[in-house]
Amino acid sequence: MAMCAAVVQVEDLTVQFPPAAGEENNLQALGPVSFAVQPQEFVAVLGPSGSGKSTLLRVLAGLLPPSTGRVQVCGGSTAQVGLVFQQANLMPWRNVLQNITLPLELRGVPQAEAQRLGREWIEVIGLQGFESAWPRELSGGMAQRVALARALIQNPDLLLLDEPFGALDALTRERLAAELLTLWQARRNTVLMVTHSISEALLLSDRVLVFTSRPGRISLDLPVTLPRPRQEEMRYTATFGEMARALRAAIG
Amino acid sequence: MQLSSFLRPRWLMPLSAALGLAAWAALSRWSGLPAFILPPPGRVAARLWLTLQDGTLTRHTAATLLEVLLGLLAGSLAATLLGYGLARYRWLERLLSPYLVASQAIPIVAIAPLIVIWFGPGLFSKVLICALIVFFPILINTIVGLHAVPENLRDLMRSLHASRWQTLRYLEIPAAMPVFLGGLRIGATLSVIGAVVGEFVGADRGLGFLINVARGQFDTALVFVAVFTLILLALTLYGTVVLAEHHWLRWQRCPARPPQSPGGTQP
Ligand SMILES: Nc1ncnc2c1ncn2[C@@H]1O[C@H](COP(=O)(O)OP(=O)(O)OP(=O)(O)O)[C@@H](O)[C@H]1O
Ligand SMILES: [Mg+2]
Repeated sequence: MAMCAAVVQVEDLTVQFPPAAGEENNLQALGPVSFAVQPQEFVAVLGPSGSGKSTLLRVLAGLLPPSTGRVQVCGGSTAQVGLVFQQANLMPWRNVLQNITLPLELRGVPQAEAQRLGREWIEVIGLQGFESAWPRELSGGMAQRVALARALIQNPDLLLLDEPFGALDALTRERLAAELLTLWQARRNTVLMVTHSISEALLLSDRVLVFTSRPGRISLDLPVTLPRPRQEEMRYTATFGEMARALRAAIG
Repeated sequence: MQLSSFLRPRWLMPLSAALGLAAWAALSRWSGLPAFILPPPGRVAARLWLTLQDGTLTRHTAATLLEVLLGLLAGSLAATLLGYGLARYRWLERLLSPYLVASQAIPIVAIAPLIVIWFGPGLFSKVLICALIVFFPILINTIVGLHAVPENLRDLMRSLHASRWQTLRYLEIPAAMPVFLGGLRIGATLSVIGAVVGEFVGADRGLGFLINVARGQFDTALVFVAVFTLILLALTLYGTVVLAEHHWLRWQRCPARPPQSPGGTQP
């Protein structure tokens, strides 16, 4: 990774969309917001629906240009960014292993090496035996694990998660969050994760950014003081409860 | 044996063929129609044997097959390339679509004579007619297929810094393949029609030419032989595309497995 002060540096970013039919003014979806994400930091983003969280992630992933302000992702246009959406977004014509190795293939990593790494990741996410299964044969939780592995296999400079467990049932969701915690604690990629779950944010992240409703601005930047390594049981501690209350109040 | 198990699909095809054949034989025997109107199956079989032996059938079939395949290739190649351009650039679609739609209003049978006048009665005019008739369905299906590429997967490819070529190879082609192959399936049978139309207008070989000649000589049995060969040809081409679909679209076909995690518990 190139030498940068921070992995993500956002200054006075705003995003406007052209006016909807029958409207006069541009639709301001986001900002202005300013924040930075340090290397190996796990930042969670909470906020009401429509507050521009996905929009922010799309800007960081280079999928959408900022309207005003500056956004810098360390490494610039060559930064490796891992993206996981609410839907797994697997390629239905590639099997599990092929989906996971896609980023490596695109980067020209030799087939054998890509396959070896891919199998390692299949083991990490516990899908042994499903290497050659097609995406449509997977449950939602399994598919989302594959999406996570696909994002992480390139060891991204920045991992962007947009409600990665949002489409899953509550139990699967908790379990995948715990798995992500273990995964992250072993690897420490820099992560920006959008979530609607306060407890998920607290359990996983070092810092929680709370967004206001549209246009999204940061109304609270809360450091999570729970010690590392974290365990699921910390959900039931007093500190956790206090912070959860503060976040709930900030979201309004 | 129960009737339902006797009528299993495996039995159904030969059964219906046998019934058809029997009906044909009965009709030609008892209807009093002369052989040059409705030749009996035996006579057609004998004619088939004869034309197979002296190589006539093989020669004409090969000529038609060549036209059909070259036309299919040229037509689908052009349609795919143009379809990609039209799907990618909206302005190009706006610019060309009036012409494309209007061109579909012209029956190919009506302009086939023109094409033969302009390009002569040789191979080229037939290939051109086949290509023209194949062009439109494949063009439409290419465009529809490319429009169906999920936006989320495009985002994924962009976030991975995929080049345009990689996006084409890893995303657009496989995503458009099911619809494209549907177009190719239609195109394959249309191409046979195109070749016959071209040969009717002017040719010195091919199954369409054979039909023309046989008709002139009231050799109706030979017309039947040529028609059956054409049907077989079209079915074979169709079947080939279906086989390709079977292979390339495996991922669509497999039954969805009931959700189950490797550990046996629900993930
Ligand atoms: N491509 C677009 N064109 C026009 N408006 C858009 C576009 N994308 C998003 N918006 C608008 O921008 C606002 C923010 O959308 P965004 O998806 O970023 O919200 P969000 O915080 O992710 O919401 P949610 O929690 O429901 O996912 C919304 O009002 C949305 O309608
Ligand atoms: Mg969103």
